[in-house]
Amino acid sequence: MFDLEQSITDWRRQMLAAGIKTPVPLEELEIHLREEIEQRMKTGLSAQAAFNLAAERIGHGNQLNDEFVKAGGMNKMKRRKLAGCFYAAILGVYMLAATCAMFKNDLSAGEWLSGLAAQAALLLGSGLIWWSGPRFFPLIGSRRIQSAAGLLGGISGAIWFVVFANCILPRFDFTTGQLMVAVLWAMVPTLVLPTMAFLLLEKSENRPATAVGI
Amino acid sequence: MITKELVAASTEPLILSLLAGGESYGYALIQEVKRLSGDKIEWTDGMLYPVLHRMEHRGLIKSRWDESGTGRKRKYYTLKKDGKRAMARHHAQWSLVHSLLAGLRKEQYV
Repeated sequence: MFDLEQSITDWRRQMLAAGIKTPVPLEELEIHLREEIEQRMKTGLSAQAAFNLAAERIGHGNQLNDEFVKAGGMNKMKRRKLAGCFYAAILGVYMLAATCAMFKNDLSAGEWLSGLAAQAALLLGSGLIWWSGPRFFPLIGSRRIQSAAGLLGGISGAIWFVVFANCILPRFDFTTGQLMVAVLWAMVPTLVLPTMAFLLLEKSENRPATAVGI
Repeated sequence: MITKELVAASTEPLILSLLAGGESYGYALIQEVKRLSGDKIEWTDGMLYPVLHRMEHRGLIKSRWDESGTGRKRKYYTLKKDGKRAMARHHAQWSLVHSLLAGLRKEQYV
């Protein structure tokens, strides 16, 4: 004997197992299911046939959950703005600290000029990548390559600084001023490469506009 | 029947336009689209809800829980100011495509 309430309870269990959250959106889906069953039964269908049809029309839990996860995610513009603010804050703190360090150390005019040039290169480099990078990234067609290039970009920024500090710096006998300027220049790729990495990874995550699963 | 891609692309403007006529809930929206399209547009029932949630996250619509006349709890959706603006944009774009297609078709028969 078909038990409608038991079937709905089993259906709920399947949806929960697929990752659909309760009470929202599972409750909303269950209300829809019950409404559809009721309407189908009014047309003369048996409770079992009405339930089967209504459950089929709602769809598979896994597919639904994928769509809900996408719907709940932060939208691209918001995420980009937030990442932009975060990056600008890091850059601001770094540049303030670097300028303070330049003032504290006794730099020659040439070292001052070079230090300021490094700061300008950092601002220009990250700004250029942030604003114009997304226009060129679509040229990298494959999402896998975009994602790999992004990861590589992020890691290589950190690797470069480690190599610089451990392998390049010890080979030179820098004065304090020269050391300061060398570090400032070394920081340019260290901070610029992660910008490119973020944009590439973000690009590789985007799905085509037709992905609305309706 | 209309292609899946066109159905997907038209979902948001259709929801916005339906809600412009007053608040509604998922099941009613599906039935209304089915009726108005003469059964030519049929949404996969469950997939409407992630779209509604996405539109709510984007600030186009808002929702509230209430009880229907039959005592059943329902989640009602209403259009927000940004949703009205998005609807106007959609209407302008779809009208442009429609008039372009109509013009091209007319040219073929002249």
